[in-house]
Amino acid sequence: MAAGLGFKDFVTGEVLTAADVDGYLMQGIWVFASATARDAAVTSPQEGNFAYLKDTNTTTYYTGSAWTNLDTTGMVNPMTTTGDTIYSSSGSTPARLGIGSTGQVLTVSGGLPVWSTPAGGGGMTLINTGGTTLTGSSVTISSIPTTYVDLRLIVENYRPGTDGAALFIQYNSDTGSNYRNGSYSDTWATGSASTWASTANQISPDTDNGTSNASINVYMPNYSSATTWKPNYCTSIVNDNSTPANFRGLYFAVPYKASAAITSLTLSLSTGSFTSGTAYLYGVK
Amino acid sequence: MTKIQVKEYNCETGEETIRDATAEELENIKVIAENHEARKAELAAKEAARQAMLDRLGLTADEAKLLLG
Repeated sequence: MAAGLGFKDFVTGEVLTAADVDGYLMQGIWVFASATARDAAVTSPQEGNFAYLKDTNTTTYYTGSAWTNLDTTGMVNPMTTTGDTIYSSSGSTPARLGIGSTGQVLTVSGGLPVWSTPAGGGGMTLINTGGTTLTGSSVTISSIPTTYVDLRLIVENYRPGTDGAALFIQYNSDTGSNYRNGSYSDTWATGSASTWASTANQISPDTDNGTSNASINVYMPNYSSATTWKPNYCTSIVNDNSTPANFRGLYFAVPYKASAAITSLTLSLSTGSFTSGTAYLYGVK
Repeated sequence: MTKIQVKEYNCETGEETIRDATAEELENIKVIAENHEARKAELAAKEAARQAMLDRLGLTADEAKLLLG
C-alpha cells in the first residue's frame, strides 16, 4: 500500500494514475469487519493510514510500526484553573472541583467532595441573645439548653442601687442549703470534709453603687450532668464601695449540690435593686 | 412603697418578663441578705480576733506573715 501523497486539486482532463489513486484517493478511512480483515487486506501499511473496525467500533491508525486505537475511553479535561481537581460525578462523568480557600480542607457533602472550612475545636455561643440587662432585685435566665459541655456567665458593669451590696447566684430556683462559698484557701476547698452551708453562691464582693468597672465571671463545668454535683467557680472584680478607684476581688469556689442539670440561674443582690449591668450566658463546646 | 420586681429571660423563647416578686422570692432575698450580713460579721469578728492577737504579741500583720513563712 502506497503512502499518502497529501492533497491534490485535480484539473479537468487530467489523467488519474494508479499512483494518484493510491496516494490520494485511497487515503481516506478504510472500513473493515475486524482487525484481522484489515491486516489481511493491508499487508504493507504506511504511516498515517486509517482503518475503522466494525466489530469493535474503533478507528485505528498506523504509526509506522503498529496499528493504534484512535478512539479513547479517556475523558475531556474539565479543569480550567490552577488548583482544580477532578472527581467523578454522576457515575463516571468527570467534573471540576475548583480550589478552596486558605485553611479549607477537603471533605464530603451529599456524597461529593467539597472544600470546607474546618469546624473549630471549641468556641462559645451566646445563649441569651444580646445579653440580659440587670434590673429589679433579681434576674433569672431560664430554659437554658443542656446541649453544651460547660456554661460561662459574664456579668459586665453591674452596679447595685445600694452601696456595698453583693451579687449572688442560685440555680434551678433552688433556695435550699445546697451551696457553699469560699476562697480556694478555705479548708473545705483544699480537700477537707465539709457541709453545704449556704442558700446561694456569692459571686461578687461588696460593690460600689456609683462607679462600675465590674466583671463577674462564673464557670459551670459539666453543668448538664444529671448525676454529678456542680463544681462551679468564679473570678470577679468590682469597684471598692469605700474607694471606687480601688478594687475588691473574689476568687471563689462556688460549688452547688445538685445532680440535675442546671437549666436556670438567678442573680440576686444582697440588698436593693440593680442600677445597671448586663449578664451574658455562653454555652461552651 | 416601691414594689420589688424581678426579671426573667427565657432562653428558649427569647421572652423577657418583669413582674413583682412573689412572697417566696422576697423571702429568698431576705435570707440571702441575712446570710450575707452574718458572713460579713463572722469575717469581721475573725479579723478583730486576729488583730487583737497581733496587738498582744506586739507584731504587725507583715511581721506575722514573715514569722509563719
